[in-house]
Amino acid sequence: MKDFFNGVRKHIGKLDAEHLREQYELVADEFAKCERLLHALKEGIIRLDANGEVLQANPAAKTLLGMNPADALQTMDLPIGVSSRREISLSYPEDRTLEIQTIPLDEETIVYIRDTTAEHRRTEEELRAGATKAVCDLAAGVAHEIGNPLNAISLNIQMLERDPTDRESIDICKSQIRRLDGIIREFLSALKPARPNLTPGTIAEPLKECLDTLRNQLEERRITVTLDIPASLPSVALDKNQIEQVFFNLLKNALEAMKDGGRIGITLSADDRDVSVAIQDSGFGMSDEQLSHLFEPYRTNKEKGTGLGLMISKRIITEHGGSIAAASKPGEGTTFTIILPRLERRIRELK
Amino acid sequence: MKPKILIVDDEKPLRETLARWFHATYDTLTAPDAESALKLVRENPDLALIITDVRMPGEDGVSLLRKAKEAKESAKQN
Repeated sequence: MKDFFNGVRKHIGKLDAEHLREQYELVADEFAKCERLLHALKEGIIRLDANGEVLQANPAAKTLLGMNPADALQTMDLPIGVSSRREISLSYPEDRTLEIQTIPLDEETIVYIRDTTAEHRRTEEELRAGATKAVCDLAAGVAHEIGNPLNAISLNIQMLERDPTDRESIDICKSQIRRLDGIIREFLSALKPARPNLTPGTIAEPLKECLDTLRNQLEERRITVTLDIPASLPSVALDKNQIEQVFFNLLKNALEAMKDGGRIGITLSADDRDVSVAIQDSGFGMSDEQLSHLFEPYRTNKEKGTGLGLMISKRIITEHGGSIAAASKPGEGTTFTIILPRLERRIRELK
Repeated sequence: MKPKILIVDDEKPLRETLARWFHATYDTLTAPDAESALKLVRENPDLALIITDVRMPGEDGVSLLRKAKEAKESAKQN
């Protein structure tokens, strides 16, 4: 194509009407082929000008978006002139997930739309199949996890037999029973996830609640937590209890991955699209191999974990429309990053 | 004098319960991980016994015992 146009450009001054017409027909023919190709594509293609106005959209773009592309794009707030990639969930006319990419091309921006519903459904099915297998592993997991608290209770009851007024033993029994209760609850929530009950709020609230819960443990192990929270933090749609559970899982992991006197850095930030939380620990870190299986059930790297915490955390964050990722190097600690869409954006996308 | 023992477990409730359990008959030291346990081993050459958890974050209990033995033998030679 490029050679053809260059040839025409070079000789256009020397061409008579007959030849010009011939070349014009060739161009028109090529153009029609491009149009047909655009029409035939299953993926949506939209050309935007420098102001984000729609220049051209293929039929697939309209079908995938379920409405006039210009109207649809207006609700999406796509970045113009930069590369970006996002996934959106639409519920009209049917539930589906679309991957939307923007690709800058000279002055224009190309919007590329792909239906990823089937892929998502497959992931969900795989997860469900995995969960069925997980139930079989459950007995082993529970047995392993409840060993320590049962041991502690058993020892302390023997202490109480020696001295029934031993206050400390009573307290340890109580706290270990609470721990058993927590373990059971975690397994139940892994088996039967509750839909999040979303209300507007900031992620700083559940984070602070969680740090309060862990305060004694942090102090006892002399772990320094540095909190970096911007003065004004945009709201997100969240289920406070579930998000607190995610923080709890991540912080517990961080604690278990480090020696006494370690450091945890928590940084909250926001841009015009998302609110992010980065939790960085000074722990043992992980290999690439461990990282690649991180969010799978029963893939614990810890000697004493259930292997469910991160799977549950990921599911909770995904159901909040967000994402969770981890970066790590052996010996250099691990950083978890949670990204949640800002409230306004989520409302727009859910429309 | 009571014999001196060292209890190593990353689980605080277990560690402290064991410490209280042996407290009456032994002089008990505790450590939450292998590294701090080894420090105590070196500082206390009169240590009579180590009771350790095997699965702990960081170095495990078996490796701790091996190193403790090495430390004790090299202390004897000096």
